[in-house]
Amino acid sequence: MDQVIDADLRQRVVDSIGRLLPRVLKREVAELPESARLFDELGLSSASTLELLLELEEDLEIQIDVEEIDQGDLESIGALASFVSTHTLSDD
Amino acid sequence: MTALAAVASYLPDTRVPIGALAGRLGLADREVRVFQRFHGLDQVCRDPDRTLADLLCSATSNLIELRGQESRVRYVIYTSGMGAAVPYPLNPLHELCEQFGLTHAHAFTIAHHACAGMLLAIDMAGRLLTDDGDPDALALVLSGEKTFTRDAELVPETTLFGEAAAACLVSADGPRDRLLSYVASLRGDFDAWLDEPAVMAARYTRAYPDCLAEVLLGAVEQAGLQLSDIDLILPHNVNVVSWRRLCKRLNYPIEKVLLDNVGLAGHCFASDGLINYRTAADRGLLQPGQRYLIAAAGLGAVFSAMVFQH
Repeated sequence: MDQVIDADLRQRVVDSIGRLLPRVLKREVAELPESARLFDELGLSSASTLELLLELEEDLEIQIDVEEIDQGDLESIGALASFVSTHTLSDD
Repeated sequence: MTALAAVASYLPDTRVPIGALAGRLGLADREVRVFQRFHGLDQVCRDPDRTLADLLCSATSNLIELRGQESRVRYVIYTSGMGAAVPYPLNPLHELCEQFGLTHAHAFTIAHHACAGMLLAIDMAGRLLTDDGDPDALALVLSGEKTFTRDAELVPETTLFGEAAAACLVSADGPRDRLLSYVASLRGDFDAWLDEPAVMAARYTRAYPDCLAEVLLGAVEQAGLQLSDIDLILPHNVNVVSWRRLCKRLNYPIEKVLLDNVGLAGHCFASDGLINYRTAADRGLLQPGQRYLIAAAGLGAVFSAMVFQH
């Protein structure tokens, strides 16, 4: 597990969330700043958050170490991107 | 002090991969993958050609300690997660009493605590036996369910049910598996009829970790212990992800929660706790004197926890 933020991976996660959210939420989403709050603003639920993580794994061909995820990591798009970019499991 | 004199479980040999249920249950491929990847669900038990009575009798047959002790059994209590599951006048409990020579016992069913009913039944059995005052008397407590409707197969986004059964003998006192505490929190405000299903589900999901944590910590405190004194948690088998989150919240090691049966059997209604007890005991995970906690949650809603000393 890499605790140092990989800026490139983090940006790819942010981009991917932007592509995937309309599909997970089953509606169009106008603007997605990193500060957008997943639950309160975007309407994600616990279950749809898991769907989003699954879609991220497939879209980016990574495996996320979800055991460490905390409520704070789900606060916003930026927080989730930071978590994912520091909690990917290596294929090695 | 109420004690478990013997515990048995019955898991049918037939296991159905959850992907094979998707079409009939209307699950999208993505929902199945979330169940597998995060919920830890993989297959569920099914006993397609056998009835509820057959399931209960199989668990009771596995309770070898009952043999020769039938006359000591004063109560036979079936705890149902589904309420009435067979049409009148059929009664699987009475069939079982006939088959095992228990017709002299008081036999009744409780359904009030849904999937947390096993803990209520154990507590009730212990109190009835204590009041009776006969130190040799026993109660046979049973659970088991058929997955005969969609509601009995699936809680959307949460769990898939398995068919299985469990049985235990309860005594008013005993040297092992002594009941140290029992806490049940009844939350009628989560009754399914009080709100729109989606609103209720969201409200329940939000409150769930706090509610379950409260009874776990309450039972530990009532036993005069700290959570770190609990050597093993025997969970319900609803899913893995909710236990991971709860353990993180309580700072309790997830390795001490026996989650192996989630993927092997699914959530077997009120039977999970005893099924997991049997697995733990058979694997030698419980040593004499160790303290363990059985946790349960029933839709409706009830949150329960019991602490025992092995």
